[in-house]
Amino acid sequence: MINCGDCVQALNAYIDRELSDDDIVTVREHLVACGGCLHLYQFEESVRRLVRVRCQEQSAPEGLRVRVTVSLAAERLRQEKRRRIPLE
Amino acid sequence: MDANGAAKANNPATGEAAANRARFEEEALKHLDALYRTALRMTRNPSDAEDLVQDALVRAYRFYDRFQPGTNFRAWLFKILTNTYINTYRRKQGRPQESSLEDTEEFFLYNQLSADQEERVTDVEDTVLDELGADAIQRAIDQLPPQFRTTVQLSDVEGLSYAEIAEATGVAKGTVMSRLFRGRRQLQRALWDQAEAAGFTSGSKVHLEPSMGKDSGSNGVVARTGGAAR
Repeated sequence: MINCGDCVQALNAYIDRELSDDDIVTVREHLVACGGCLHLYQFEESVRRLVRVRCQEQSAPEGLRVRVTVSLAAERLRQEKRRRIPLE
Repeated sequence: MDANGAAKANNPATGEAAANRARFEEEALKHLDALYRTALRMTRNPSDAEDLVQDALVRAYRFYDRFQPGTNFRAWLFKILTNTYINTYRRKQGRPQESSLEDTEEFFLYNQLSADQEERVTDVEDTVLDELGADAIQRAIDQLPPQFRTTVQLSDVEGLSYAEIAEATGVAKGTVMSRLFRGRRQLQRALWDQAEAAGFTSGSKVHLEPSMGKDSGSNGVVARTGGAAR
């Protein structure tokens, strides 16, 4: 069983789902047994959620989608024209 | 002449190019919101952010045949966004200034918000921080130094993995992890500053104690959580 120090150290990677399966089990075992670390974990995850959910409300301006579509079409035409010019 | 129609009807090579473009466009536009949000954090200016996304996507289209199918398209797009930003926009904007944010202890908000409460907070939405809107949170992210800002944005808002961020920003995975570690500590501090600036922290049950946390760091948390375990 890991101690609180190890658990706190692994907490970010645990929240980020970047731990190996074995380490996930180890951290989870500690969280189930330790109320202090569990609270900290829950709190840190809620901060992550707050940032993600609020910031994802913002989407690209509708005009950008159109601009991108138009410039991709223009780029394709440029490429085709280049292909059609015979090499000297 | 109608280039589109002619290409499809007469020339198998350009017909393939058209199909390629359609596929690229469909896949790339799925990431438009994420690319725009990230560009906005990089440039901190909506009109530059739009130009940056457009330039990056045209470049990505130009190099699409170099993209290895089966590898990570999203990370590849963000890599081109990052490179386009570095090559054009950062030059235009000048060298990034160092941030004025000091390094903060880890778990700053948890310590701050738990300071004078009987029960430890387990959800930030039960605290004054819940008052922060998207604008305030984005301003907080914008306070971070550029490398930290992009890394935190890609991880905490766009949900990229460490490996994807390493690919997108051209650094080792270990660098991503240390940028996240420091960037998130600074972000917590910056979020608190936003709440303070908006007046959410005054007159609430949470009081700011500047002396607190001087020597706590993660050890402070360990000591207290350790106590709770026994």
